[in-house]
Amino acid sequence: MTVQQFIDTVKRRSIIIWSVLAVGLALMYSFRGAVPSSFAGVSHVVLVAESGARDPSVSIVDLPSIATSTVVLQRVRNSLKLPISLINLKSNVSASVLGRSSIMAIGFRDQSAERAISVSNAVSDELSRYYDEISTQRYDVNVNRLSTALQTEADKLHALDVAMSGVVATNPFVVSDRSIDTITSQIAALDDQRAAALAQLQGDEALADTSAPDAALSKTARHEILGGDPAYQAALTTAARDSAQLVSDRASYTKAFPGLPGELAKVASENASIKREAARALTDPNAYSPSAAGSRAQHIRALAIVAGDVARVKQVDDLAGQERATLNAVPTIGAKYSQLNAERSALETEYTALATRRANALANRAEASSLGSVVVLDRAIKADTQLAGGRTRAAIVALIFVLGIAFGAAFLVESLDPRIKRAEEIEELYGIPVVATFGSKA
Amino acid sequence: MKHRIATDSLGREFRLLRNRIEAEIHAPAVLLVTSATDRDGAGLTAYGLAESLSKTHQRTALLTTSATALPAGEWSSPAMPSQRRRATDRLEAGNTTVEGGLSIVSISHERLATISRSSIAALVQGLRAEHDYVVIDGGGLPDNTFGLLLLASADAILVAFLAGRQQVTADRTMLDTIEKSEAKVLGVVMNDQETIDHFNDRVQKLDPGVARNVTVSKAPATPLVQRLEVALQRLGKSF
Repeated sequence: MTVQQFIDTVKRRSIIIWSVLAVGLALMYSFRGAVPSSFAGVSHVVLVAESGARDPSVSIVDLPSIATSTVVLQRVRNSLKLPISLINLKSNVSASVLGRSSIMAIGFRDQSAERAISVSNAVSDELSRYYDEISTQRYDVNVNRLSTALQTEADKLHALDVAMSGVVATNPFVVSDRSIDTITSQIAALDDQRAAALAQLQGDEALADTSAPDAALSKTARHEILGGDPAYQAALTTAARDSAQLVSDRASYTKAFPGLPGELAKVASENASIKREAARALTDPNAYSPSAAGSRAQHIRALAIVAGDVARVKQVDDLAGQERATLNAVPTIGAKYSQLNAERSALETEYTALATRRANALANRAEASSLGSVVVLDRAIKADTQLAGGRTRAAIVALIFVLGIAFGAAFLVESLDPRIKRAEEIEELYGIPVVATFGSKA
Repeated sequence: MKHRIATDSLGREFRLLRNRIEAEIHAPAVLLVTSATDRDGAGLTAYGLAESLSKTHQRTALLTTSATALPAGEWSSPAMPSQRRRATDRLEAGNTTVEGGLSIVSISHERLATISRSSIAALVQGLRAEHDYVVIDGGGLPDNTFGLLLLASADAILVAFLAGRQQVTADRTMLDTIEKSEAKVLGVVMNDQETIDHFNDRVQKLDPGVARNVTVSKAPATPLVQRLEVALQRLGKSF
């Protein structure tokens, strides 16, 4: 379609176009209140480069694209937990370099003033961080790989340390070069201790033997028991009195005294009773003799000392046995410990080399980072919030939409009109060229 | 009905068409102006072309049946049979001029219904002998006996088309018909309805410039448009 055909069609269908425009404008006017206001927060960042240096990674012309990249915006979306889609966020974020300077304005348009400010600032912050990532990305790869290798070496070292600790725990002397001498000295000291303990044991045993109580009660003990028994004492008193009466009667009377046999029998009976009471008192389990009790206590203490001496001797024997077993195991465990120690030394060498390389990589990364950086120059604040003209933009969009519909309707009607109006259509119909047109509408 | 027609533009278009025809078809020649329907403005084209040719001192004859555009009662009046016959047979018609001019020969429907192919051929040959160009108004070709009769006599054909009408079956019929002839097809002339209506109004307003009871062939050989302009000026109307 040529320009002339376009103009002709517009002229022919001008009524449709004007009608649609009128309806569209009326609808726009009716629904003007449905378009909410929006706010724009604007922050500024500046690209700072080291004097005389040139950051090979990013230049100022690249910053708008980076600021509106999905990487940066997705991070902002996650950090702020924004309830809007990434596409919507991207469409409302604007970034433009101010003139030929190194300053870039970052704006965000939203119906909420607070969100407009926070998103604008968040994009600036994230841009600064992401710029550093880009500048040092090639070094980060090296650093990460070296860090991973270092961690692997550290794990190996830790495993070796654990193994060596286990070996040392079983044989603490392997860590010493004079472990055999030490163990031998220990054994000798233990032998001395055993000899002393054994002598002490023998002395204490002899002492215990001497303090062992007799099987029969001593006279003191019998006296103490019988003296403390009232029945025995009563029988003894009665027998003594009757014996005294008998002696008196014998002195006073002759053998022919009739009462004498009775008294003799009574005294004999009472003597027998005394013996019975003595036997009973001595066999009474409740009979108590302080001297016998003291002897038994002393003997028990002596036996306890002897038992302690025996235990000490046994303990010393055990320790000496362990020391001898350790002494026997020194050649095997020592070799294992030496192997582990050698492995650890090799690992330490590798670890040191890797650590040196990582330190160099970090230094290079820091140097690259210092070549240039994005600094947030001016954060969006409340005062910077402004009415962003959302209605104006919506009106422009709506007007364009209405114009599109108007012209679209005109050309749709034109295309559906079966009437032949253009010379091209006639030539297509007849296959004959049009040589003249008479009339303005032809 | 009042029509506002840019006569200057119309005249310029006819001059351009005339120049084109003069360049492609050399005199003497018979030009058939035809169309698929009788509403395409073949009459307008034929009249305008004939008038334009006559202005260049070409002896031009317009052969038409446009009596239909005039009040039918006037042409079918019993008082005028001899004049009509003479006119249609071209016995007394022929207001030819030596230094160009326009002769209009109109054939009535009654005569057209009875005229033979040889007679019409003889009429055309006679006109061709006396004129540089013979322009035939043969609109509505599929249904026009007059046009069909004269198709064989034509040296060139112009097709008129009414801009804004829909395609009809007659278009295909007309194309098939003119393809069978040996005449050279010069092209299509686009007309709009307003110009055609204006032309028809002018034809009907021949009175009083041209008496309706006189065959058009007897009208003065002055250009029709000029005559009309004079008549309209007398009536105090703009063209």
